[in-house]
Amino acid sequence: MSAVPAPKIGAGGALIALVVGGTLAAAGLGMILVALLAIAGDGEDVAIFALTGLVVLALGIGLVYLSSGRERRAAALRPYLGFTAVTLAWLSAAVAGAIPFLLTGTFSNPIDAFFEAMSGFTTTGATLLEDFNQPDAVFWWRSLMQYLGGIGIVVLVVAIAPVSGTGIQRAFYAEVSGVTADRLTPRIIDTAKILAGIYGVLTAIAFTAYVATGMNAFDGLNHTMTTVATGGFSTNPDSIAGFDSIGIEMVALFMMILAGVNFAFYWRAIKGQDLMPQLAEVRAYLMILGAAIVAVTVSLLIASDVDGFAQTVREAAFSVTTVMTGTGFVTGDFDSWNDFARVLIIIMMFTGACAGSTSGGIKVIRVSLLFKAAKQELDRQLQPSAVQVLRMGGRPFSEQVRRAVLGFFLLYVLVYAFGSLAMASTGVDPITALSGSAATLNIVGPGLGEIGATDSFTGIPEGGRVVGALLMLTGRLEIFTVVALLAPLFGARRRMTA
Amino acid sequence: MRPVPARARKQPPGAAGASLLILVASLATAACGLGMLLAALIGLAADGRQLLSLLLPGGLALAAGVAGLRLAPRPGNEAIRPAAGLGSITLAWSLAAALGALPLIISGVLSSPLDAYFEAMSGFSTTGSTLIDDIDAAPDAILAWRSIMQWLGGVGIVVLIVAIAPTLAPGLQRYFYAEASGIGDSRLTPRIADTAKIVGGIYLGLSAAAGIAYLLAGMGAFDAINQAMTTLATGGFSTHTASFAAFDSAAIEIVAIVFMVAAAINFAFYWRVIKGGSLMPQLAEVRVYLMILVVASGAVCFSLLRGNDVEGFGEALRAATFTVTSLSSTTGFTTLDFDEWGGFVEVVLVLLMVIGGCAGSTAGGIKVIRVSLIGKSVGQEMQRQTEPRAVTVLRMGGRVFNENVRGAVLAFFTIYVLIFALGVIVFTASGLGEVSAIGGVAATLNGVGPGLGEVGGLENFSALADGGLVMAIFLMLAGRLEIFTVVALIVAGARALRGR
Repeated sequence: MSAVPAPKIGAGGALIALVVGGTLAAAGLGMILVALLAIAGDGEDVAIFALTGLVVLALGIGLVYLSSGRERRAAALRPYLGFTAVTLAWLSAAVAGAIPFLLTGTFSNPIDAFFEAMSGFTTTGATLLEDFNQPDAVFWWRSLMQYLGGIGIVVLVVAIAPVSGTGIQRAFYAEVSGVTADRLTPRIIDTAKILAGIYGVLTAIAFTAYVATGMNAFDGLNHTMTTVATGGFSTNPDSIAGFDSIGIEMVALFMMILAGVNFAFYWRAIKGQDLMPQLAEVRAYLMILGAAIVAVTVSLLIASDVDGFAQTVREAAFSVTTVMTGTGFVTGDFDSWNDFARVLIIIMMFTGACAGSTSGGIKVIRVSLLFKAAKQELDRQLQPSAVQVLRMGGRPFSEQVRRAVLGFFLLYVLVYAFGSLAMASTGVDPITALSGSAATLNIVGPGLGEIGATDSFTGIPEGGRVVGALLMLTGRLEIFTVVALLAPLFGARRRMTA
Repeated sequence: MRPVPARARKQPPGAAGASLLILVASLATAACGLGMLLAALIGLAADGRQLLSLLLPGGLALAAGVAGLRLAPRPGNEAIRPAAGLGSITLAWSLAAALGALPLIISGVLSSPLDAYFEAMSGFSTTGSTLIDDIDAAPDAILAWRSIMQWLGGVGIVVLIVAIAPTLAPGLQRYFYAEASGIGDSRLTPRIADTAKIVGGIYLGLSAAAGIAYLLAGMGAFDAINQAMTTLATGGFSTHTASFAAFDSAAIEIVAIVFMVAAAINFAFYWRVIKGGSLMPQLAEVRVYLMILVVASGAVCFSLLRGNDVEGFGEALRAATFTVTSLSSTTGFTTLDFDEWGGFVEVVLVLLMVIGGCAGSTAGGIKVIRVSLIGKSVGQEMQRQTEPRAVTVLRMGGRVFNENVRGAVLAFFTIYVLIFALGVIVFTASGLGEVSAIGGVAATLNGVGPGLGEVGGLENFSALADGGLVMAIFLMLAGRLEIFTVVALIVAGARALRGR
């Protein structure tokens, strides 16, 4: 049997085809799974998801086939190519993910469907859905997109990036998350399996706990998927508040915190390996979380924004956790709180949780290193000849890391400023623009003002939704990945081919 | 000229720092005294009210300052420690503001000492935020004193940055971006005193030109003198509650625009133009600055036309150009209420405040040259992502900067953003809404004056509770002294307290 001669594509094209093809295949499988779940439920729109899934799956397999048998190893080391492949993977997933929304009539505008799908695969949780009277399949698909996006980013950051050449390592702060120095296991596929296992265990715990605290199987599984992905899509129009159950809130709170921890940390804890510097990051994460909860609680008590002490603590703890982990579930309407608390909420969005987790934001380890670097720079003013080493959890970092962290922060602020400006130019008020950019860039979901905790993103005009979708993509892929694609504008040569 | 006392060489360690502190404090006190007497003189020529509240503290301050200058030991040849240099600079501004608050309290214009200190710090830091509700009703001598505070603050910072910092202790150069402003290598002239005289001369000359231009454009003599001083200082205190809207004259606004831009340009650049020396990298910075002004004015003008916020193209262009120049040069004069121009304009204006004017000018903000270097650094970081082994050199206007400059600029930016965030938190905790808090921090940290919302162009800072005022004073001082100065001093103080 003679093989069909594949069209000529270079090593670079092969890598892109493999990555995009694999992503589409996963998305297609996901849609088919949704169709199966829908058969077990209300049985609506099964055909739409099954057929779209088959088409997308076929497309994905076709692309993977195109890339097979080619030398991809060299291509993997070309940073520009890697960035292109990863960015295209998320973009193509969002485009594919938008199709079912259009076919089911959930959204009539392609931009809205794309926004919702991008919000899903980036695990953001910003939604344009106002009418929650939808077939089961639509909810399953929203949750599953987040679940896939979550495991996708963890595998990319913890397993793939550290062994993919300098450029990609740097983009995914491989030096900082500490997986490079002593890789979990040498082979990507083994690491990925372990990570998927941890993800699976978290999923099982969350599902059991949600059902035990009174959710039905449908809500339980949907919320489980969006919790461990720190995504924040909900089947309930009022989000977690709609269940009005302290038990469910506790489960969500606890699982969000767990999902915000570096997955490499779990692996090391299981294997009994050296926990630094991840343990230092986890400690800082919990400390910041605790301090922010206390500060918000105190301000709410002073301003009497929430009735009663217990309710205040409950809403403050949940809200701070949900924005810091980039989840976006809602219990209390933090948009109606005092301005001090609202500013803290925005700042917690930027802090984010740990590197190598499904959360967004700058990440705790980078924030810690940033503060250390700033303090060292001040020390240097006073003692110009002092020798300084950047350390965390006893581990020294190279000067490259210092520069990368400072550069990252700089770029982050610039992207945020441009994002806010772009959003403001679509005609929304400044608070909506500033918080909308923060909520999307940091992968959180709800913001303040017209897109506050109890509102959807429908308060933002079409142009602003496009900006939001781009910010989600940029934030999810750690800024550098997407922005580096613009590097040729700055004189860098685009080296796609060998 | 008195000979240097012989004991200067046998001073114990640290004595050089102590005598520097005394010298600088005396100098600031004497300058304040002279300024108050001058304000009294101007007041005498105007409405003649409240002259005593200036003459009294002015005479005392001048006497104390001159005595201090005569009696203080001269610093010896030993190197001055960075902390002492930072301490003396911070002390100069804090002390000047304390003295400057006295006439405000004595005259009863502001009754609370904290309010008066805020107003005086806003003066000496050339910020222009005010707590006085009815400025038109205030005694002329006090108004003149407000303008003189800004004028002194302006000449102080220019002389400090262009003449003193580059030649003082090597450690000090870092704070004042001597490397970035490019004066460290090719000093204007080798001696501090000569450079200071030249820079002071340019400042004085521009002030005189501004005053004459204002007169020709139709301002009264008293208004022209005051407005000229606060324009050159990019300060923004006005003699009218309504600021420049009180004049409602296109000619006056054009004069203001020209001199605000002139004051926001590096003073080393003027010197080089006069002397015919190499203009780089300052010329590159000036070009970028003018480009920012043109682009921002165009964008704001477009937005005003689209939103029908003002009548007709001419009015839109006038309003946009004046507001953009005023905020970008961190002056803070106002004609119209830019608070009502919509979210896009508000974000643009805050960004302009943050960028500020050129290094080595009286303007505040991050400074155009730093922003340019930051932009270049970002481009190079992205290049390094795709070409990890690429060698990247930071350049501006053909001049190469070393890697220390990159580190200093990036760290400056980081600390700037952290302080900005801290300021917003404190402002919201003391009663401002978020937009007002962001606008308020941008206005004080960058030395602009008016912010947004409750502290907007037509309002004043009375909406801020006392805690917020203290923070605002800190932000104005830290912003004026390029942040590192004050923050590094706090770090040094904290370490001293811990006994290390």
